[in-house]
This record gives sequence, C-alpha cells and structure tokens, in this order.
Amino acid sequence: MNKGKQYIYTFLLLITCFVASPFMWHKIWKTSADAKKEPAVPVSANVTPTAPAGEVPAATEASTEGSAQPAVNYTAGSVSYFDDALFIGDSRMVGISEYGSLKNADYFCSEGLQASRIATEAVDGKTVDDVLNSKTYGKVYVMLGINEVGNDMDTTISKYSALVNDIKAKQPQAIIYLLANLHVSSFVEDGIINNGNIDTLNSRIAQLADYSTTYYLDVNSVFDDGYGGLNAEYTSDGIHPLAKYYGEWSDWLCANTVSKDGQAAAPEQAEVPQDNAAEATTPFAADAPQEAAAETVTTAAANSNSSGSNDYFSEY
Amino acid sequence: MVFSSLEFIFIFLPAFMAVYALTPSRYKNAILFLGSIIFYSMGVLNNPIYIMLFLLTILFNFIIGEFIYYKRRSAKAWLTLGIIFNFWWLVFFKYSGFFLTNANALLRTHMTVKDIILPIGISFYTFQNVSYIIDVYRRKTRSEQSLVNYGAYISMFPQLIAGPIVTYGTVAEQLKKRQHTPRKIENGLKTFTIGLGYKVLIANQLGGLWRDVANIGYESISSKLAWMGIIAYSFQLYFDFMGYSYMAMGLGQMMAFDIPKNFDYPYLSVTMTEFWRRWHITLGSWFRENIYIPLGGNRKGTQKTVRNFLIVWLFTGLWHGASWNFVLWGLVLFGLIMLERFVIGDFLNKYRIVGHLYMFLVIPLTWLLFAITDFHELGIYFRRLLPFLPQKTYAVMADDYVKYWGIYRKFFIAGIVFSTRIPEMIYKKIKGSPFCAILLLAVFWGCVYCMYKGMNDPFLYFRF
Repeated sequence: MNKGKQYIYTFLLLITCFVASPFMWHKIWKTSADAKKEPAVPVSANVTPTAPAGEVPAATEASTEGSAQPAVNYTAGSVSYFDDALFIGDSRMVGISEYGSLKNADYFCSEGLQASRIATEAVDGKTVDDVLNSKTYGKVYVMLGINEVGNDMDTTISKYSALVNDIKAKQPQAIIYLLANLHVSSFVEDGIINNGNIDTLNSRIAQLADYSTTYYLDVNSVFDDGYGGLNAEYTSDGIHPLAKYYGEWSDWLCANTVSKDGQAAAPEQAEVPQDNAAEATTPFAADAPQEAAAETVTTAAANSNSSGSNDYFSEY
Repeated sequence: MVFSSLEFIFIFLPAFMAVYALTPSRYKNAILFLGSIIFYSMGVLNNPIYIMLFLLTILFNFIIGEFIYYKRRSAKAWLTLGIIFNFWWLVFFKYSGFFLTNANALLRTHMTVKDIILPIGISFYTFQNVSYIIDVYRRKTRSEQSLVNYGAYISMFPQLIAGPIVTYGTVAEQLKKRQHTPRKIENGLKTFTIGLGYKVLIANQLGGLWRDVANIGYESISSKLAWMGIIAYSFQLYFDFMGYSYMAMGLGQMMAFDIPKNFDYPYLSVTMTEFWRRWHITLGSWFRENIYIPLGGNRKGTQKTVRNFLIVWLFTGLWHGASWNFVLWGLVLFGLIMLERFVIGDFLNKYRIVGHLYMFLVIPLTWLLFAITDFHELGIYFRRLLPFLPQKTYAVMADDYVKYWGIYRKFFIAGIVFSTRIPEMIYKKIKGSPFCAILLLAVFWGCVYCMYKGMNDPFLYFRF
C-alpha cells in the first residue's frame, strides 16, 4: 500500500476519467455534430393580410418586415420617453444599458439571459417578476433569443410568449416592444449561431406582436452589411457592436416610439429628406416602414436629444 | 488538436498512451512517430497536403544530416542546400503574403496570391530541422541513423505544435534508450495538470478581459481599463505559453523524455536582457547558437556586437508574426537591450526595486506592440494608456474598470501569485502527499469543467 501511495495521483486520475469518459465522449460527439448543423430556413410569416403572397424570405430583415407587420406610424420620442421604460434583455441589452444614451430607464439584463430561463434567473438579486412588480412602467422592451437560437424553436417561443403574457398581466398599461435579435457577422456564423436561425426566431417573435399593445421592432437595417449580417466594421467579435454604436442604437429606439393611444397622428419629423416620409402618414406603405424610420435616425437624433445627456465625443 | 481540449484528453491521449505502453521498447519510437503524425493530421484536416510536406521535410533533413556527416568535403554545400530548403517553405507559407502586400505598396501593383494557410507548427519544426543539420555540420553530434528515430524526434506531439524547440542533442541519447517508469508517468501527469491549470484557469480567463476590451472598442475604454486590459494580456500570453510548455514537458515525461524548460519566472526579471533569458528559453538559445554566435557574438568589437543583436532581434520579431508591428516590437526590444547593455543595465541589476518598476512598465507596453497588429488601433490604445496625450474617445462608460475588476480580480491575483516562486516552493514541500494529489485532481476537473462548458480559447502561439 505504501508503494501505491506514490502513484496516487495516477490512480485517482485514471479512475475519475474512466467514470467520466462516457459523458465526455457524448459531449465531444455533440459538439462536432452541432458544428455541422445546417441553419434553419427562415420562415415567411403569414400573419396579416398585408403580407404579399409569395414574398421570398431572404436572410435579411425583409423577411420579417415585408411579410409580417402592418405599417406603423412610429414617431420620434425624446430621451425622456424612456423615464418609465424597462429594458429586458441579454448581453446586447447590457451594452445598451452601459453605453447607450437611455440611462434614465430601468434595465433587467445580463449576459447569457434566455427566454427559457428568465422566470428563474436573478439579476442583482431580483427576478424579472420582482422587477415587474416593483413599479409601474409605461413601456417594456424585450430583446431575447440569441443565446438560445440553437434550441428547439417552439419551446423557446412558448417561453418567450409566456414572458410577454406575464408582462401584460403585471403591467397592463404598458406598451410592449419586442426587439428583433441583432444579426451576427458572417465571419462568426456556424451551425448554431447564424443569421438564418436568427431570422427564423425573429419572424416567430414578430408573430407575437398585435400592434395594439405589443409591437415588433427590427434594428438590423441600421447595422447590416447588405448581406443580412452584422457589418464587420461595427464589431470586433461579430456579435456585439462596439460601444460607440450603442448611441446610434439608442437614437434609433428614440426614433421608433408609439404613444399610449396606439397610432400617433403626428407624422415623421418634417426635416426628413426621404420620400418615404410622405408615405408615413398613409398606413399601408408597402416599403418596410422600419427602413424609413431607420434612415431618419440621424435626423431624429438631432431632434430627440433634448436632454443633452449624450457624451459621444469628448476631446482631451 | 489542442492539448486543452476534451478530444485530446479523453480520446487521443488515453488511446495513444495505451498503445504506447503496450508496445515493446524497440517499437516505441515508431509508435510515437505514427501517433504524432495522426495528431498532426487532426490539425490540418482541411489541408492534407501539409502532412506530406511535413513528412517530406523530415525525410529530406534526415538525408541531409547523413550526407553532412559522411561526406565531409561537401558538407557545407549540403548544409546550405538544407537551410535553403527548410527556410524556403517557411518563407513561402508564412511571409509571402507580407512580401506581396509591401511590394504592392512600394510598386503600386495589385499582385495577389491565394489565401495561404499556414501549416501548423512550421515555425517550430523548421527551426528544429535547421538546428539539427547545423549541429551535425559543427560536429556537435553525429547524424541520426534511424529514420524512425529522426521522425519521432521532429514529430513528437508534445512539442510539435508549440515547442519548446528541442535540440537533437538534448534527446539523442533518449531516443536510443530511455527508462519508462510509473514514477515518470505520475510526475508527467502532475506536470501536465499544472500546465493545463495555468492555461485554462488563468490564461483563458484573463484572455476574457482582453477580449472584452476589444469588444468595447479601444476608443471607448477608460485609461484604467486600458491598463487592466494590457496587463491581462501580458498574463494571458505568459500563462498560455508557459502552460503549454508545461503540458509538453509532462507529456514528454510520461514517455521518458526530458523536454527542457521553456520559462523561468520571466516576470521576476529586472531587465529586458534578463527577461529574454527566462522567456521562451529555447527560442533565445536557437538564435544565440545559430545566428548570434556564428556572426561573431560579442567577440568582434562593439559595432559588430550591436549589428549582431540587431539582426537577432529583427528576426525574433519577424518569427513571431509576418507583420510590421512584430518588426517594430523586435526593434523596440533591441533598443531596450542595447540601452541596458551600455547605459542602465548595471544600475537596474543593482537596485532591483527600480528594475522591477521599470519592467512593470516596459513589459505591458512592449506586449502592446505584440498584441495589436493594426497601427491605427495601436495608436488609439497607446493614447488610452497615457490619458494626458491629446485624443478622442467615444462613449466611455464611467467606472468601467470597477465592473471588470470585480469580474477578473481573482484571476489577476492568481496571475501575480503564480508569477512568483511561492507556488513552486509550496509544491516542492507537498509534492508526494495525498493532499497534493487531491489538489491537482481538483485543478484537473476544474479545467475539464471549463472546457466542457466551452470556455475555451485558442492558443495564442498557434499561428506559428
């Protein structure tokens, strides 16, 4: 036994590895199988009659915009619009909370947050229910999905939908904005995390919007590279925009707001040079209204930044 | 295949060790050669031709070695042929892109070359092959007479992908005859585990901070966070590479090979000169033996000495990467070493506290040149480190460093502690005890847990 003691590490290691090996082999096999997975084909959502039949679902936001939502008259709000806002989301939402210009809102977000687990996850010691019960919000923004885009989509959507119902129950007066998941850059796409899957998930989320209390917003046109992916110049890891772009994201959120009584009568800001602006007053513009809204980001930003809290540039 | 992966630890290594252990001594080298080739092919699955290239260089250098040894009169010609052959492949694969980009810039042309993928390990095995034929030429050793032995020497998987650069002389005897004992397996497994811990539990974790800083964007980090970032990178690079070298040593031990140490507490140095005798020791030796000394070393007067240092440091920089920031890095190191040699070295060695402070500044700043390839980004980061310089920042979050210190504090502390000799002193005392075994077991399974959850980062020195 004394001699055996000299080789105790070898013995312990061999025994524990022997016991664990089936689990490890399973994990190895699963990881390599996942890497080879084909991305899901984005579904063309057929919810409202405005969806033109036979619209080809390209792997861009067009598949979610052109086919799903009715045209909505979004207006440009100011930063103060977000005084009674709650943002729920994952690491990209964390980015908005840290580097965006909407610091007056409340945030329930953390890296890795998922709709499937949000009921039990705690952020800073509170669950999402704690936060929803704590005060009255005028609007609740939700951005979840990128961390579970490889899971079974039906399960994910049912959990997501349960969250939306939970919000409706606890905050019946609030407008709920469901935010599309931001695309990823093509250089990071793999069998699980790819824009095909993201678009599919986004289109399913879009179906949850009823456009009386729940709205679906898609920011991807602001950051896309023209091929349905996140522009590689805006990111280092292909998944999160660089900090300096969260300001633009915030501006875009400011530019796409809905007032409490549903469709606001006020049209887009007069300074907008695009032709689409004129169509904004007619509810059924065939062009995705998001694009018009997105293109007005820069002009809207100039108008919506009344509080002057945007310290983008500081020269030393 | 990376050592710190589930595939290596739970499939390749047990399978290989089982076969190796059961093989009679006579054929162990053959099994090692075969197993190493399999290991290598796992890393070049997309380019199977690289296996052929690798085998070709082994065969070629083996033949050259024999010719140099037996054909004394034409030995120099054979040596020259061998060196050209070896370096041609390295230059082609590693530096043609770099040459073309610069030629295009100079000549205003638009020459392109298809994207060349570097055969893994080529920087290491090229240097090994070249050092072998030079040593045979210099009569430091006789040539290896068995192709299998030579193949096993060059390809042995513990040091194939990321060094240490083992010289032939170090292992020549062991290739012919070595004692396999359970004690060596025990020690080898312990050493391997320690290396694995350095890589997965310290390097990969602190690498997370460097990645976070890149994701934020260098224009959007506070100066404190910038310093934290580059210090995290300095630790990541060290523990990554040192961890890998320890794993190589441990694996070698299990097969009764004595693979030399590649690191000797470099962060305890008081001068850059001392640092490079403690960091990547086998690379420094290679340059000293095969470039510096043949050029005359420091025996031909001050001017020639400086010239020799300059050549060595230019090549050291280039060896690390085919890009101008590496050249700049090499030049800066040359500058510091010359400064120490002629001006401040004695002072720093005498007043070690000052030396440590000097190194505390100089190490992260030089690694910065190593870490960032793009000069524009380099400039941004450098100015972030020195906030009194004029610069523009965008959307910096107040107190960002507080958030990241909270997340990474324990890894910084581990990094500092394990850069000192304290852990080794403790380890020596508890080495044989059951407590040590349990501790290492915890380290091992902690690492496996991280790998299982996918918190895995590619080894920084792998583009070599």
